[in-house]
Amino acid sequence: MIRPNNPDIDVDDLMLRVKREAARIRTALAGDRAHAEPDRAGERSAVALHYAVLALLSEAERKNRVRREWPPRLRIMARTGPLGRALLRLWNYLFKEQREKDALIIAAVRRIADHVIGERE
Amino acid sequence: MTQPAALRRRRVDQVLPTIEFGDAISNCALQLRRHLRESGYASDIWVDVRGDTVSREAAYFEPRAVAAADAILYHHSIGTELAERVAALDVPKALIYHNVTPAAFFADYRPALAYALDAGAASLKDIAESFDRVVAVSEYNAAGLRALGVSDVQTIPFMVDVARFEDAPQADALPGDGSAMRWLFVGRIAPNKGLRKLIEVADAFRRCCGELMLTIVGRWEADDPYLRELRELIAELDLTENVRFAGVVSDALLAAHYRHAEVLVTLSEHEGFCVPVVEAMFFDLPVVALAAAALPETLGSAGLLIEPSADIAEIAAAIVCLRDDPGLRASIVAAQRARREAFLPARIWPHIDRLVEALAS
Repeated sequence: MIRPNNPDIDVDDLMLRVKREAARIRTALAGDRAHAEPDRAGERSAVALHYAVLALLSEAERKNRVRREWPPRLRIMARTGPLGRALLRLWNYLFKEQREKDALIIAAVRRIADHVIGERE
Repeated sequence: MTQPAALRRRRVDQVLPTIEFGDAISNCALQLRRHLRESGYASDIWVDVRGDTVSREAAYFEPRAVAAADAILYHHSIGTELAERVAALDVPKALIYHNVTPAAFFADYRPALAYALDAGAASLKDIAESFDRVVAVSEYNAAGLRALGVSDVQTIPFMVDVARFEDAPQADALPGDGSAMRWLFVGRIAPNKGLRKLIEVADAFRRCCGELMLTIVGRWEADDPYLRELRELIAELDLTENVRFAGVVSDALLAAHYRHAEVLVTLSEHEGFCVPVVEAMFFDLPVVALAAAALPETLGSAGLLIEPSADIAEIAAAIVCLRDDPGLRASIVAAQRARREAFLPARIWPHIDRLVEALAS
């Protein structure tokens, strides 16, 4: 498991020592685990899934905010002063109802995700 | 009146998506700009996103202003509209490819970033073909480009700016950790960096081989699900006293961390180059790294390379051997001293100068 990249290191000897030490560590860890709590792999993957759902929701929330500035590609609009600001307000008005619906869906999914992880805990 | 081209200084600009303090690509761009200016060129940096502490170093990308340059160097590491906009400019230009982290690493944690990474990988061939020159910062990256069908790729290693550590004032001494072995990791807190495995190795080491203090230096975002997962794991393994996140630190403090540590451990599964292992070489800090992606190439015959198939016990055991065998440590440090010469600016600048000269003339 050691790559022989350095000619000044006797990799065979090092591998032997690493294997011996690794065997000792494995035995010690196995003893430790026998006294520890049961395997929590399932719980860990549920937590990972929970965080993945939260990440998606955070991203959805970020995208669902009222737009206060133009995206980089349309940054030139910011320089048009009152016209640029008026168009931005119009944009936000047109998508107001959609934002509200999306916010409700996000809140509902967040509640389900929190409930599922709460049940596991 | 416009100055005749022969009389005015030639301008070589750089474009990159983001400039951030402590970011390797940003440091590379800043060092490159310094070199270009010292070489007599006018040179500016253009970006889409600027971090607060370095906002004065770069301007927001303006196509018309950038189009007036004699040559452009574009640093590519993520999918962004900026790449297409630079590709569309009618100016001699080179693409500097720092690699794009596979999106799969981020899919469960940061879907938007995963999307941007996917886009970056998908558009790479088309974008590369619209540049006059394509440069990869490692052979590993160059091979990736060639596999996509990009034929003419030149490899110029990453410019690692260690002079910034010499210029930085000495930081206050770091707090002592008693007899605990001092491990260091330097890099972004990201799923491709193998931090989960590193924490599990730290757990095995502490249970079976002795005390340790693992310091993780690098950018993190408070709401990052991956960071939360790591913190949960640390709490679950009862390692809260043994693992600390230092965040982004000043150059002086980073130098102090390199001097203070006993080993730099990186179990990163994907790296296009990995600047911290080169920086560690300049501090005579032994490196233990997973032999994955560009790491074997960057380390060459230096460091201790662990095969990716190694399990947690084997990685912990390798670090025990390094701790207990001064001869092994000396061999690693000696090889690192030889290897680091390859990344000295004096070795890199001639390649850069030839590239820029070919573009700007």
